[in-house]
Order: sequence, then structure tokens, then C-alpha cells
Amino acid sequence: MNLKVILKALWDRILGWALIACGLIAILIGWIGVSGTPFVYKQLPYVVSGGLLGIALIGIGATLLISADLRDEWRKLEQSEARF
Amino acid sequence: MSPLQSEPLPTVRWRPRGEPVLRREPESRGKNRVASRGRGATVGLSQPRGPWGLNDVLVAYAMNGIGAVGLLVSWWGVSGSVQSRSQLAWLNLGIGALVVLGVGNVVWLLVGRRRVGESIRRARDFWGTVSSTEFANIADDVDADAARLRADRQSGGAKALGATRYLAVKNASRFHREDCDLVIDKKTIAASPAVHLNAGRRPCEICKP
Repeated sequence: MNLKVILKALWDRILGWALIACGLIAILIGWIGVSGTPFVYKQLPYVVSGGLLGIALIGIGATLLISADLRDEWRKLEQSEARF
Repeated sequence: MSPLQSEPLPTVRWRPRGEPVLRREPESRGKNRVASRGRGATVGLSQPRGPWGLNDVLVAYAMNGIGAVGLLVSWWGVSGSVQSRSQLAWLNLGIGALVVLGVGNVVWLLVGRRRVGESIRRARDFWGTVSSTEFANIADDVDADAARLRADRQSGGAKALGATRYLAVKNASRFHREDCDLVIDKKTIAASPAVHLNAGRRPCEICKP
């Protein structure tokens, strides 16, 4: 099985994990930015771009992973019905 | 007479909803066309397979889009100000955008979970109505029909059945009459019984082709 087939079959899971990884990285960058300055007005942009965006990316990634499971379950039901 | 003959089996109604299917029209009406069943299933064949309809996809995209734009605007506003009061207002906007985005994703998952659950319940309801005795009778009838059709094929019995075309879903194990409920709204292959038998399919025990 080549890479193209794997990507086509598992795109949602791969994208989901990639988004979760990006979210964690964003949170890490946000934490580094916030801890690097004592000024609140400089910290808040990091809270938004790092913290909130990281949470959003993790949420979207998790949604994609759960959606992939639901889609698999749906496909199995459809195949069972077609086989009957 | 078997119980199957005296009391017809209930029609299968547990197809997952919201899935666009190819409906094969009678040959007199010509080409295939796209049909849809269930809520929100009004899209073409390019729709990704899953329990979601077009409306669900649009709602999810809209709420995620609003959330993403809200986060971007919030970041832009917070970065462009040095006053805490102004920054907190923009931060509130970002939190609100995050809530919108989260609600959109939760709704998406709940809709999918509900549709899959409905489909599973329909399957359970259907199989719960078929007793073990009926299963045994189904198996006997299927074996008898298959043997009869095989004998017909071997003895040139195609003259009786060969002109009639029966339908089967691709990769399915049974073939059906054109009016059988099990193939309505499905993409099917039309062929003679001999062809279906050669492909390893058995006659449907409900419509008894």
C-alpha cells in the first residue's frame, strides 16, 4: 500500500492528529510568549493566538477523529445492509 | 407451507439515512438518476460518505468559519491595543468565537451519533422480528431455490428465466426481482439468474425471484 492510498483512506485521522499536534505547539508557543514578558498588554496577544487558537485546533482535531469513527461505523452498517 | 409463505417477512427499513443513492429507473425510463433519502441528503454523489447531510455540513462549516474569523479578529484587536480594557473586550470576543466553534463541532458529532444510533436501532428492530425458525426456513428455501435455479440453468432452463433480468447490489450475496423492496433506491446490476448464480449470488428469500 503506497502513501497515496494511505493518505486517501486515513485523511481524516491524519488531519485530526496533525491539528492536535499543531494545537499543542500553539499552546506551547503561547506559554513561552506569556512567560517571556511581565507586561499584561504583551501577554494577552499570546493568550489569544496561542491559548485560544491551540484549544480550537485541538477541538477540531478531536472532532475529526471522532467523525472518522462515526463514518466507519456508518459504512459498516451500510455494507451489512447491502450484503443482505 | 413455510411460515415465510403464509406470513411475509417485514420489509427491511434500516438503511442508514441521509445517504444519497443511485436509483435505477425501469429500463423503459432510461438512464440512472440521483435520488436522496432522509433529512438533508440533497447533495450529489460527491458527498463524503457518512451520516451527515448537506445541512449538517453547512452548519458545521459556518460555525467553524465564524469561530475562526472571530479568533483572528480577536487576535488582531488585542495586538493592536495596549489598554487593558480594550484588550479584554477583544479577548471576550475571542472566547465567544471559541464557544461558537466548539458548539458547531459538538452539534456535528451529536448529529452523527444520533443518525448512527437510529440506523443501529432499525437494524435491531428488523432482526428482532425474525425468529430462529424463520431463519431455518429461509435457509431451506434459499437452498431449494438455488438448487432449482441451478438445475434450470444446467438443463437449458434459461428459456423460462433467461429473458427476465434480476437485480443485485454490487458485492451483495443475493439477487432480487425489480420490484423487491431490498433493491429499491439502490445502485444495482441487472442480469439473468444464471449470471447471478455464476457470480455466487443466491435468490432473495423475500421476493423469491
